[in-house]
Amino acid sequence: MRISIEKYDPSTDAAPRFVDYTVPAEEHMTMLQALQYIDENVEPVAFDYSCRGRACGRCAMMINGKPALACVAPVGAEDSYTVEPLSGHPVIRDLVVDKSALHGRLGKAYKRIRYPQLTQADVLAPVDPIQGEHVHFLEFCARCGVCNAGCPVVNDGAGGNSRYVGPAQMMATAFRFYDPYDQADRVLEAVQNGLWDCIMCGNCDKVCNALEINHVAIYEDLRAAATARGLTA
Amino acid sequence: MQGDIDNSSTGYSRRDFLKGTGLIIGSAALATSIVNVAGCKASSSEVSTTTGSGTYEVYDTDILIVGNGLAGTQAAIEAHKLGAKVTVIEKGPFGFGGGAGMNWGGAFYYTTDPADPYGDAHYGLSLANPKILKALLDNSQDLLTNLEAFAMNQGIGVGPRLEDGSFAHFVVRPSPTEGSTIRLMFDFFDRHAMDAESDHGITMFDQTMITDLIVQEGQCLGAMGVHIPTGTFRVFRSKATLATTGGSSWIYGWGGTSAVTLNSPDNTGEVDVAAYRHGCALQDSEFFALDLIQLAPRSIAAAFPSGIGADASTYKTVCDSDGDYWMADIEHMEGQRARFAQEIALKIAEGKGGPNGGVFLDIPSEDVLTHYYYRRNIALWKKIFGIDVVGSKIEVGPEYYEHGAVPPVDEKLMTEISGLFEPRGGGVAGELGGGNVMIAMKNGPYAARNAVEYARTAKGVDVDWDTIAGEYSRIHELRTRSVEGGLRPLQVRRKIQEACYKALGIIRNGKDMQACVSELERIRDEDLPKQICADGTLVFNNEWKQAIENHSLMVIAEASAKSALMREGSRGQFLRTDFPEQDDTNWSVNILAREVDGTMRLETRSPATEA
Repeated sequence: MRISIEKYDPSTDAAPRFVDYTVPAEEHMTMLQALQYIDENVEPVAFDYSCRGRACGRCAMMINGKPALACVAPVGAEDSYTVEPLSGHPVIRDLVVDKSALHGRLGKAYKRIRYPQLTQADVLAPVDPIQGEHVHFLEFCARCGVCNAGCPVVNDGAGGNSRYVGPAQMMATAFRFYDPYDQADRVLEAVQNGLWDCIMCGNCDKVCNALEINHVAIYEDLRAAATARGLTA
Repeated sequence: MQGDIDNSSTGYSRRDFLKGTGLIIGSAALATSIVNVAGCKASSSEVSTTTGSGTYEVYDTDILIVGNGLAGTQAAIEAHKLGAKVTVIEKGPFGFGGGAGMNWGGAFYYTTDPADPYGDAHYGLSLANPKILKALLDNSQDLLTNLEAFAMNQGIGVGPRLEDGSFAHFVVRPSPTEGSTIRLMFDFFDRHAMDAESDHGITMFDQTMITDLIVQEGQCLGAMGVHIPTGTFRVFRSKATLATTGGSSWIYGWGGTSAVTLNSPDNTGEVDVAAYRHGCALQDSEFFALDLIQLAPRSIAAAFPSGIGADASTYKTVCDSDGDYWMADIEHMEGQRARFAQEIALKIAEGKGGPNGGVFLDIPSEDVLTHYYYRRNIALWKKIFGIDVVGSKIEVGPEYYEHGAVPPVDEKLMTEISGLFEPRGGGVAGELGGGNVMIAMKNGPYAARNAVEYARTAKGVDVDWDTIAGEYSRIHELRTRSVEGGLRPLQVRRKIQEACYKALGIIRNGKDMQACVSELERIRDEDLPKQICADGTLVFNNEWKQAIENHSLMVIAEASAKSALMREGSRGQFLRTDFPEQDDTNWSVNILAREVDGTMRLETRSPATEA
């Protein structure tokens, strides 16, 4: 199959350009495997990865125009694939982008607000199992940014809606919304961060590889809580 | 008794570990020998180099922590709480390094039990240093009493819960002492610790690879290395340094996207090998720790985040080729990792393993996969591969998630170099093969406390800038070298990985290990000097990074193979067929590899020896 990769080394190239490679297909092959093949057998391609399992988020990129994690993106069904760096982040080189701005925001958004700190007794006491399950599933967010790259509201760019923080940060807010130990007003936070500007298209669900996270259902929970508080659009 | 090792020169020697494509190790990736490298001047017969302008960034700190994984994050938070200025270096992006970057980390705890001072899931530890274990236990009482609250206050959501919402204590086994139990807390999502580091304002340099330590007069003065996105050389001067770079199992095999390990590709051992070059030994290099993981699809092979596998705690689901669940009745099997590995090795050696060198994991229903980490992958495999494992048996093989080959440490977790501390240093884990991620929360902070105490009285020593310039030149030469018949770094790396995979599995024999040693020495002497980069860019140059890393992998591999060959006994998680007994009389010793006059030499010593 043909893999067409957008290559760009800012120290030597005036602009990005596409380079085509031919990769032999194998059963149950992933894009990560294809990239590794090209890098090893043809010429260097800059990409990043670590976990091979949609947990670290480092291999996030655009495949045929859709955001994906290369390590779990199957290839072989099509004859050709176009591969570009993940949209919405500065490109360092080829398929490597700088996500530090997003990760900085997320690190802050995930912080639990609570005083005083939890005691052993607090922690060992039972929690509501449904709430607990929501929290547990959200722990598996890889913070990969694929959801943001696939969000039509986030991608609406200049002139679009600048209030919506995007699905990745909304998931952080949702995590603490369900967290029984958090004491901040996460419903207000979600509304302020653009909860009602999400168009509920579900694209985040389609592109996310943490299959246990149901973004739309989470937004519905947040919206219901906001409505009950009179915090409507 | 295995009798069919094929030592033909064309193929792998072990009959069933390596076959074709679609499996964990395929020969396709190893079949190439690229010499025509774009952009490389290969015609000159002399080595030519350019090294650039020699501008560095220099940073000063009290405590330098290299590796922001499970131990590094905990060490950083602890040192910061003690008032030290802390700087953390991480090879990956935004602190997402190692197992912590995979958003996972168990956290052990156990009741105080004087009969079982180590008290974790790995029993029968014969080669750990009892003084170190006692010091760790004595200095972790607060943590162990309050581990759940400690972990939860770092930001974990609700922690491990049962279906009714009560806290899930995962009981490993009853302790030898009546009334005690040894328990494990799982579901420690390490991202929260990283968020806590940011929240505390701890300085972090990510995407920075340390290539050498700064050691003068037997003292560690810091470290230096490369910022990967820009190629900038960075020098970090510190009063005390912690090496928290994890286990280096990336030497072991290759499957198309990964070595046969769940380790991160970042784990290539630069800091441990730097310590070795500056006079430290590398201890327990023959020992690895293993889990079982699917052998196919190889695209996701050996990766627990997307994989399906088993470990000692799920032994009841593992069967042989006759469908015999032979470990099911072994008492307290869930805690005996070494025994688990040896049982599997014996089964395979008996010929009761699978066609591809593994055993079988039976999955009649989803619930059989008691670890959610595996269970969640049933849906993933259906989605991306159209494979439904429920109702089937899959072949699973060993992957090495931990490894020794680390500098020995003393009771304060300080190495033979003053001011260099290593939470998973030699003496901590003995034949378990590395420190085991489970202890990171205990050992990291203890090492940090000792490092802070050391830093308070450390003598100031001026850095010798000629040494810095020498390291700068060394690594840039690796980037710009041109040589006739040059080999790209991945070509050299595959040879190392292939050699180690053939000989350092869970079933070993002297003949294969000797062949491995010879091949590694050949790679070291013939191939490494011919290593070149196709592209000399400074910008995110993976090849340059791999070229530097290969020098570390080389030493790790050599220490592992030579130590494994030296040990005439079976111990820890491997079976040596020509020496199947443990032989406590002669081999209750640690093997240390040390550089003497430029050559690796091995020595043995009692586990009770101080570093």
